[in-house]
Amino acid sequence: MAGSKPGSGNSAPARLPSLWVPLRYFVTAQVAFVTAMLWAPWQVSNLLDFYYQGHDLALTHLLTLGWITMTIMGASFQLVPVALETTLWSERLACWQYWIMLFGVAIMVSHFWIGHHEGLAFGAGLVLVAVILFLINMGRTLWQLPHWDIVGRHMAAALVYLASTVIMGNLMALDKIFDFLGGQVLSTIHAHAHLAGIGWVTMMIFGASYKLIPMFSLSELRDERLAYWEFWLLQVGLAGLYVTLLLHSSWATLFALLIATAVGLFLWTMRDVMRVRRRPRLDWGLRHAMIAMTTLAIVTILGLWLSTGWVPSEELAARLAFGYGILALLGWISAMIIGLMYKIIPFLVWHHRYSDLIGLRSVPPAAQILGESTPRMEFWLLYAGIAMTVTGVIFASWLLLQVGTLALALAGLTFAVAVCRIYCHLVPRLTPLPDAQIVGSMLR
Amino acid sequence: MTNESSCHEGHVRPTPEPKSCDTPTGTPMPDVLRDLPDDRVVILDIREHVRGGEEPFQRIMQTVMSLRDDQVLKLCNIFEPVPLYAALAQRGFAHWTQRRGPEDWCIMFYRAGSEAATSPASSTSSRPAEPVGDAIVVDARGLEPPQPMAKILENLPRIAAGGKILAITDRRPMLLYPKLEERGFVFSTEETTHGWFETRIWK
Repeated sequence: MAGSKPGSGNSAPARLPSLWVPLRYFVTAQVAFVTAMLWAPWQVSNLLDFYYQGHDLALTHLLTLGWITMTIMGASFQLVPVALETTLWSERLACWQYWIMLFGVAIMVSHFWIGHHEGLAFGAGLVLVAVILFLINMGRTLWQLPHWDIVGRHMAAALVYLASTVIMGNLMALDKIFDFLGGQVLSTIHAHAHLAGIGWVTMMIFGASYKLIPMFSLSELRDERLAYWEFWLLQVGLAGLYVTLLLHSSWATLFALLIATAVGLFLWTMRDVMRVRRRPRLDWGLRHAMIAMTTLAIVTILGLWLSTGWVPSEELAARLAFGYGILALLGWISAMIIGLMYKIIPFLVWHHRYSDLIGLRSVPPAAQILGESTPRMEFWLLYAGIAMTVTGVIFASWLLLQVGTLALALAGLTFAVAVCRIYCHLVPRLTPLPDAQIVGSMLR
Repeated sequence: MTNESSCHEGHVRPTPEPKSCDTPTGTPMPDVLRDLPDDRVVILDIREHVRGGEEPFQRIMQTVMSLRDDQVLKLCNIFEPVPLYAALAQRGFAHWTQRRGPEDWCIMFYRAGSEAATSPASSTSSRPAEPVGDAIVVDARGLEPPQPMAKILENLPRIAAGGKILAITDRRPMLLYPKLEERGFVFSTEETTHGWFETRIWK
């Protein structure tokens, strides 16, 4: 009788953290995303330029730390109790971490923008402190796990890569002041970006997907063996790619190939999950996830090509690398996060507002909270915007970039409207229930 | 062959059964099913219910729980109910399947000593710790969260004095527990060897 819980007062079951623990991370992340999208149309000239310059780095870190990392942190606090059947170690630590992270990201982004290295290093230091608190909290939480399944392994590995990424970022920030890394700026940036994008974010998304995509599509992960192969291939591939990128070695292609194989195994597993799903119609959350996985395949092929160095000119290679980065950030990671947010936030809000009323009052189903028209508009604007922006960057087209970034700005606004409509359900005055209709004789 | 009327509302009724039941395709009928007397075969025909969009799991489980030890269940369905095999293997039932035509399947579930003993489910004996004969079965599998929790909570008012709910879910219902405690219910969850969870809820 595994994990039985006889009676109602014995071994404490895992419980969700309070609503505000994940919610403050989600709201902040969404503000960061919308800000970045609204900011993009004013950055067209910078997007036509080389990617290593302050304004682009400010925008990038607003997305990577403010949007992506904040979201993953909030989602970790929310999902760990459900996915791994354990309780968050400390809610108070999560709250402290939030404020330190918020100030750290704000200081980093603003000092990237104005090109002030000391301020940048200070902001990076605050982010490091926040990440250490996050690692302590998640480490102690994961430590309680009775067994390490494929989700737990991905999460643990992602946390190690998060620490590595942030430590490296701090060293890079300090290098701008003390100049001790030897001047290999681009190699260091490439290694840093891949450590973050693959090790921290993609690793975490893969792990979460093995749990959440079957759960949301009413399917099952029938064969975990491919997922374990993917996990180990990704570890070896990423470690090798990191070192070879730092050393500017041609062996990078070999490790990129290992990573591409891992991605292929992940996509194949997800294809199988979707093939046996019991829900034929995809909702907006799953549609985003499917587009994101398709984009991941394109990003992987592009990355593999760049790793070979077989590009006609250095200028084209730089433009391709810029397009590759934007496609990975928006088309893969952001699209996947939006998709998962369209599932997680309605669940979170519904649970807080309505779950106590089940059996007592008629309440709206969680699936209806998101709505239909706004996510549809956001969906088309986002992918049109991404396609035009990435094409505009690669082919240095001002017109495509201008139109594409405007579409992204509109996508950001519609995303904001969609999530605000969900959050409205937290305010009973804004979303009153139908007249009291007692559906049961529950005693409370 | 019996028709839909013999199984209405999940009531079971011993029905005369042909002694020979050779299958047009597949494996031959196990010896244990041959020459069964009529009173040892309980027939449940859910074809019309399934065609009408009804979820038949609860009806099947109630019938299974009412079987005597020496009885077998003959289930008539419009498709092969593959997930049910694992669910009933969990309770020590082996099965023999016969496809008789398009949308016409006949599955015999029986407590076979040797066959059932080889299945991992029966070997770990995860039969309910609490008697479930009078339990209301709430099958909340195949639902996206938070629908399983909502479905179970909606059924709580149906628990009569001394009664209980047997809730079946794909995942351990972590979010349900605090709600049950708040409403004064007692509960117990078991993970079955086939990967789903059975939660018994009573006052």
